[in-house]
Amino acid sequence: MLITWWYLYLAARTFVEQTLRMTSVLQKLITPLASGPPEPPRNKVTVVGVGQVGMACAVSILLRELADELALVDVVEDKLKGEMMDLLHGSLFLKTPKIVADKDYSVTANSRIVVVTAGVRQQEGESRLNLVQRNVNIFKHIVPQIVRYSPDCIIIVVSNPVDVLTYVTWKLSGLPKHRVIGSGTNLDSARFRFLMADKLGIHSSSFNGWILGEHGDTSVPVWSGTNVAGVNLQTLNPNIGTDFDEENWKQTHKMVVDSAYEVIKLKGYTNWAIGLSVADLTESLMRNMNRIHPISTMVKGMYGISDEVYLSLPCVLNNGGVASVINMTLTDDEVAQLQASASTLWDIQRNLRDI
Amino acid sequence: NHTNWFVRCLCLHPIMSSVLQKLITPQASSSSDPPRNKVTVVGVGQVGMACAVSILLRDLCDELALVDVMEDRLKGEMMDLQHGSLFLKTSKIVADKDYSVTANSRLVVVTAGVRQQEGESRLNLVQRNVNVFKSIVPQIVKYSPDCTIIVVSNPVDVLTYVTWKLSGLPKHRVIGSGTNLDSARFRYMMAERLGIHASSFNGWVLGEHGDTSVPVWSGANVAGVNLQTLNPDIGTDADKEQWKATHKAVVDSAYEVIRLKGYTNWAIGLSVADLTESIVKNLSRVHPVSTMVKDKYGINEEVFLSLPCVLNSSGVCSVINMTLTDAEVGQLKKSADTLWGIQKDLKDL
Repeated sequence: MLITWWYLYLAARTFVEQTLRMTSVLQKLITPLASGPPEPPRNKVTVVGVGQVGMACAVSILLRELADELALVDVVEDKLKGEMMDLLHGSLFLKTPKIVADKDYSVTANSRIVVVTAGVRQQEGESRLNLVQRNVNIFKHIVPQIVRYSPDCIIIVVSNPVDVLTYVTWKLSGLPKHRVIGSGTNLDSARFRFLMADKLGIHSSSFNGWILGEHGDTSVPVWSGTNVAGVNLQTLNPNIGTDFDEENWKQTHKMVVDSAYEVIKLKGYTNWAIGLSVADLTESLMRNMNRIHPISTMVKGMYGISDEVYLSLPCVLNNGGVASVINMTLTDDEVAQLQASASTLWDIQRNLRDI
Repeated sequence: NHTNWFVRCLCLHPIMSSVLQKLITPQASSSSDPPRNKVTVVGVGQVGMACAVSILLRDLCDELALVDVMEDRLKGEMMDLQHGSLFLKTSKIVADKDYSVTANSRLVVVTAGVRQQEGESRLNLVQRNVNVFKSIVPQIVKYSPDCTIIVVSNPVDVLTYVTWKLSGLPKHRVIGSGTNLDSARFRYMMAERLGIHASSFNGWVLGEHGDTSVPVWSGANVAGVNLQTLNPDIGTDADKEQWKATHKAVVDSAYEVIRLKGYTNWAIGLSVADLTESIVKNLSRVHPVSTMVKDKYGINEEVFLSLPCVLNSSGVCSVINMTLTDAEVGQLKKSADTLWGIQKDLKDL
């Protein structure tokens, strides 16, 4: 009898617990241990702009497991939310536990690296320099917000024309020059190495070659430095890169310059290669690697350039940004080409208003 | 200019060797080995490219082939990937509308076809996609008779059946991406409610990849602790915590993402790479994928539905025998009936 009452009591108690106190599955399953607010992120990356380039950067960074938090920002709210959800749905397969998105920049707070892909892109046949003023106006809204919420960040500018817009970003941000870089000729060099290596039957990473200067039509292939396993190609073929070269290696550089236009003509835009190259830069910065990349940096005072322009040179990247710049041994002709790029860019920059 | 002409003539002389010849002395004979882990992606839309990029970034294949009917787009995508070669470990990326480029693939991912418009259900796409598949599948098998095919195009369960019929391949070699994605979404959303990572939440969504998918609440667990034991009402309408809403959110999520950005691609791309990894690396991991379920759970028709399958280099090595409640079996049967209702009307398979 007593036992029956005991069981009835237990049943009643369980009922009370279930319905009145209602411990949830979460409460039953999990006992918290650590107290206090969640830890802030240590390796947060923000991508501004969720177009094709921005999302390619985001996915490459996620798949390379470089960030512990990813923030996305854009002005088109539906698309932004859709992209965030699509990435979140892949969480099971990723190692980035927090992915957030908002048009408000507060979501970007405490970023180590901010990748700026916002702005308008080249139409078929349009040169990058044509995009300038439209993109400057967009950057005036974006850059101060970025710095407001992540005053210690490093900004990687990707939007075109990248060299001019890196300058614009530097001016608008007030950040020291070593923390504002342009993706620059990192991609041109990657394309160059792919095309050259392909002709030699080896992997791109085994072909050493640098393209510097403007990311665009006037980029400078440093033929004097091209080598495989330290064997200098110009020593093997002194005409390399000139019009006298029977093998017409110069054509390969021309293909690099043309390749963006060609891909745009074929599929409407480029995104995968630039996304991978941005992830490559992010890795050096995030992991403090001191690897050297050709990226757009402030070159005033170098190679006889007296204007505040951004051009690509080989830069040592680590978690402070641009740690140092490699002093290239360039031929007079190569220096002249850099100076010509600098003049072209300065001509555009000095007409920009309100920066 | 005379000097130039003279120099050019001299260069035609066999003594003048190229940079390549001076730099590199071949050792192995010129024939290169065929690829061992070649993956083909059919269809270079948003889903196809998301699959391709996820596979490339996970270093899963030694050769990637892309096929589509839109030649410009196809070439542009191939070039864009090749330009990223420096950052990748897949040394050969090729593309053509001719399927000869897909020869000797271990795995073929089919994403070709039309996709859902806003608000459209997956089942509506059937006949249009069947017609597309009639031109695709025989070509795939012609050039890669030993491959495993992963069908992604929707409605995936019906199209996996169609692919199996058109290909003549044994059923363990044709799988549908099925509820691998639904389960990933489910695990993510459930885990979010519990404050843990998706990979630490174990839960399976089976059956149709679509509106009638079946969440197996009886198996949902964290660290072996069964959630239904903690909350016997879980997944029912009586559940105060309304866990059922989480499964509903999974079903709705594709529609929602499509409404917001026009299509979904990243999550499905990642989930296909996950399946690819198990197959190419012979892992024998268990995934919920669409497989031929005739003679299981009282289903008498040749339909494809998602069940937990052991995947390795032979394809679907085996199927896990789930312990399902009568209600869950009922739901599977209902999915099977819905799918058979559509399949029996398909022409010319």
